[in-house]
Parts: sequence; structure tokens; C-alpha cells
Amino acid sequence: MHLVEMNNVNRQYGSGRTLFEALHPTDFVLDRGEFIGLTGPSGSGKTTFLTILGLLQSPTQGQILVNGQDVTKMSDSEKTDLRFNKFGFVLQASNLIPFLTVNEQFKLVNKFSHSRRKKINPKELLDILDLKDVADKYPNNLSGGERQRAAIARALYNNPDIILADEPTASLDSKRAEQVVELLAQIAHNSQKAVIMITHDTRLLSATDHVYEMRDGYLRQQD
Amino acid sequence: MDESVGGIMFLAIKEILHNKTRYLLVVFTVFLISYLVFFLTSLAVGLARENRTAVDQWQAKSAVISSYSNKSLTVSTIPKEKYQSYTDDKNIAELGQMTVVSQLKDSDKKINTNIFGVDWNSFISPKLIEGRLPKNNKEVVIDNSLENDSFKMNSRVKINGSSNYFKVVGITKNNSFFAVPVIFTNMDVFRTLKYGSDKVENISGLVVKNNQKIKKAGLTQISIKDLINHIPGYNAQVLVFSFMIVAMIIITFLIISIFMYIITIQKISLYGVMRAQGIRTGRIVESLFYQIFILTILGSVLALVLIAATQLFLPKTVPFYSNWLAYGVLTLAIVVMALMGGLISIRRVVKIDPLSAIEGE
Ligand SMILES: Nc1ncnc2c1ncn2[C@@H]1O[C@H](COP(=O)(O)OP(=O)(O)OP(=O)(O)O)[C@@H](O)[C@H]1O
Ligand SMILES: [Mg+2]
Repeated sequence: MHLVEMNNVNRQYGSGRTLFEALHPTDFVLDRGEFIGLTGPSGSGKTTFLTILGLLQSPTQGQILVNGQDVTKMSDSEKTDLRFNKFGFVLQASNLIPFLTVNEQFKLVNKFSHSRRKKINPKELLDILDLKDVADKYPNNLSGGERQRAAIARALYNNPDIILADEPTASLDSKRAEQVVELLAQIAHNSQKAVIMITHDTRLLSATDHVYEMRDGYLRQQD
Repeated sequence: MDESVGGIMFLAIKEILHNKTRYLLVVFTVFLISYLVFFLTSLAVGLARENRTAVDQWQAKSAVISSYSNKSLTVSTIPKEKYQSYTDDKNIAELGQMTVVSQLKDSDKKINTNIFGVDWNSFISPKLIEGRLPKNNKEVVIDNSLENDSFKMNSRVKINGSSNYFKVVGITKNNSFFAVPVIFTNMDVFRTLKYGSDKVENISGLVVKNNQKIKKAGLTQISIKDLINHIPGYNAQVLVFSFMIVAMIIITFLIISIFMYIITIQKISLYGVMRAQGIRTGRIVESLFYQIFILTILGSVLALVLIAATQLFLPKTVPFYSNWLAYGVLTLAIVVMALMGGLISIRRVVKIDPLSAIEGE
């Protein structure tokens, strides 16, 4: 059984004359231990693909299975719970809660978490991502790079099975960017998670297992 | 289960603390409205009480007045042949009532007062806090609210321009009738003042302490409640105040709904982030209501504190009567209204798309 399986999934925006297919019918599978890179020009549909896979929006047509369960048949709150337990997002825009410090972002996860699933040690996480000194700061007092790393820490903290990262290294210097990619690779390989990372930086793709390219709404595997 | 409640409280309180000015404005508004509601209520109760404290003192069940008087004690007159068969009953007391103008000796100030003519041995005889009951036709008992007009023990008082003075020998309290303090006299004095002579043995009404029924041509028995409701202006006053208080509580509902709606709209991308992270809509709604609850409780508690202070510093002449049970009920009404105000925002929260998280700040 695949971790995620997409069958004939597409996404259209608008209707009538303005109808526009941002994602053409796509088949895709994601397995544990995989680190996938996704590139493509701006506006080609990468974020659309990633948010459909992450249950942030529904496809126009097609079927999505997570752990063999048909997600398209689930209620909104079932999808929300699945998102909380299985997915970690690092989004293009900051996905931190503005009135919580970095530490408190973790605390919130603890408070809403029902499962006995093991959390990642927050100290270790802050250490790896070099966030120790800013752990008690609010998101709008962090630099762009710190905010990005905090968002990564938040996504990893709940120990999700699937990590979806939309340009996680966009505001990092090249050394930090490499470290973050290295960390994502380790997570995928050592703890049997799946990671999808969108990036424009082709140098970072060497750490991934497979590279996909998006062009005008068509997804193609490159290697 | 407990843990998510903790999470909701955590979210709600952290957000309030992070946006202090915004939420202080809400607290301040609730505080102002609650204070006004409490103040109006205290005035309403105080004024209502001033209309009726003298009647409440009787602790009676009913009153008997002349049928033509349309339930109004002030215009009722009962001649001797109609009431004399009841004079021996200890549970029935004769009462003479009239409105007069009183004036202290050596003062030009004229003060509206009531005269209650009573038998000093009856159950409607005033309870004294100072002095003694009158012994002759030259002595009276006054309500202590007249002390605000410099009346005191041994004062000499002219009533309705009488040529002779009456001496204050006793003081009672909580005795006012349609917001005018009462001077107690014996029946002879009352009759002389009202009918010109103590030979005219009329009274205004009978006060009945127990449940007995009295039927006689020309007389009407009414409950004490009915008697109070027919005090001139009493009903209109109570109605106006009730209307204002209800209006204020409805305004709470409107203001909280508008405030919370605006705040909710401003938070849509934040809610999107929460939804993307997998926090359920229900949790977000609960947090919103928890916030409304905290903010309104805070606002009304502050208002209660200020009301308590107001009570201490307000001049005695203002008919302000604090009733903490009423404040409790009103606080509850305000909180309920505020929570209902939050209902309007629910529709917005439920519609929030987790995708709005990626649209950014
Ligand atoms: N809500 C929407 N309504 C209409 N069109 C949309 C919507 N969201 C995205 N699109 C369109 O779909 C296409 C794909 O957008 P998407 O965000 O997936 O691109 P992307 O590959 O992530 O680009 P970038 O690298 O710039 O982030 C774009 O042409 C975009 O304008
Ligand atoms: Mg994108």
C-alpha cells in the first residue's frame, strides 16, 4: 500500500470562458522513505498540486488515497484531523500563528494532539535549525530566514508521515539551505517518512531521490 | 478532551494578550454599557422604592378605598358610616392621606410632603429610629429623608400655611409615597388639615393586614400591588426604565456582534493557517466564544466595581438603590447577549478555506 496515491486527479479554476486547468489529470504515488523534489516555472501548478495532495483543497475530479483510505469521500473535519496527524506543511507564506512564540507553536500542537505519537524533541529541533536564541520570539520579530526555519520546525514537530514543503529554502543563504535539505533527506530516509519539496534551486535537487517537473499543469518524472 | 479545552483557552488568551489594544477596546465598551445598565437599574429601583416604601412598611395584603377613586388612594375618601364597622378589627387600620407643602420655621423653602394620618396604636403606626410617638395634636413624626432639608428632632414645621407650628418628636425611615417623604400625624390633625375640622370623620382608606374579604357598597378592595401600580406615574416610570435597560442589553448584542465580526474578518488568513495545521473549525469557534466570555466578564466585573464605588460617593439625595441580585441577572443577560453576538461570526469562520493560509499575510 502506498502512503499517498493519486488517480486521475485534476484541478480547474473558473468556469465557461475563463475555465482554466491548473493541473491536468495526473497519476502519482508517494511511498515511505522517499524524498521527492519538484521544480518548474512559476505559475505551472506546483503549489496547486502540493495543496491538493496535502488536502488543503479538493481536486475537481479524481481520487486520492492516504494509507489506502479514500480522502475524497471524507468530511471536512475528518480531513482536518488527518491533516493534523499525518501532514506537516512548510508553506510559501509563513504558516506560523502570529500571537505565539516559536516555543508556543509547539505547545499548541501538544495541547491539541490526542494521539500518543512520539513528538520530536523540541530542543533538538531548535538546535538543528539554529533557532535556540529566538525560541521565545513572536513570528513578526523574526527575520525571513528564521521565520522559514521556524515554520520547518513547526511542520516537523508533530512527527508527521508526510512533509510538504513549498520552497522551504527561499529565504535562506546557500549554506543553511543545504543544511535544511540535508535534514529533510535524513527525515525521509531514517524515519521512513515521505517528503516533497518544491524548489527553483536545481543544486538542491541532488539530495532528493526523485525529481518531478511541472510544466503548464502537466507533471513529469525527470529521472 | 481536557487537553483540547486547555488548547482553546491557550489560543484565546494568548491572542488577547498579543492584541491588547484591540481587545481592551472591546472590554471598555462592554464596561461602559454594563455600567450604564447597572446605573439605570439602580436608579429605576431607587425611584420605584421611593414611590412605595411607605406602603411596603405596612406589610399588608390589601387596601380598601372608595369605588369612585379609580384605585388611586390619593383621591379616595370614605365617610364614617362606611368604615365604622371595621374599626374594632386589629387587622384593619384606618389611614388618612393627603399631599401638603411643609415649611420649617424661619425658612422660606417649601417642601412637598405627604401626610399619613394614623392611629398610633394600629399596625401602620411608623417604626421610630429616634424620639417617641406624638402625645397631642401639636406633635408629628417625620421620615428621615427630610433631614436632607434640615428637618430634625424638635424642628418646628408649618404645614399648608397653618398658623401654628407642629413639633417633630420622632423620626422614622423608609417612609415615602410617590417619591415624596411622609409626615405622620394623628387622625385629628389629618382631618383638620384635609377637611378643615376634626369633626369630619372621613378617612382615605383602610389597610388590611390579612386575607379577609371586605364587601360594602361604595368601597373597593384592591391588592397592595394594585395600589402601588396606581400611584400616579409609577407604571410609566417603571416602563421607561425597563425599556431603556432592555435597549442597552440589545445594544450589547449589536456591538459585540459587530466587533467580533470585524475582528474575525481581520483574522481570516490566521484562521486559514490554523485550518491548514489541522485545527478544527469547532476549536476555532470555541476559542472565539471563550474570548467573548472572558472579555464580557472582565468588562462587567469592572462595571460592578465602579458601581460599588459610585454607591459610596453618590449624594444621598439621588435615589440610587443597589440590588446585587439584579446586577447578577443583568450581567448574565449581557454575557448571554454578547455570546449570541458571536453567532454571526460563526458563519464566517465555518466558511474559512485552509487554502487561504498560502495566500499569505
Ligand atoms: N484560486 C485560484 N483561482 C484561479 N487561478 C488560480 C488560483 N490559484 C492558482 N491559480 C492559477 O493556477 C496556476 C498555477 O498556480 P500555482 O500557484 O500552482 O503555481 P506555482 O507553480 O506554485 O507557481 P510559483 O512557482 O510562482 O509559486 C497559476 O496560473 C495561477 O494563476
Ligand atoms: Mg507556488
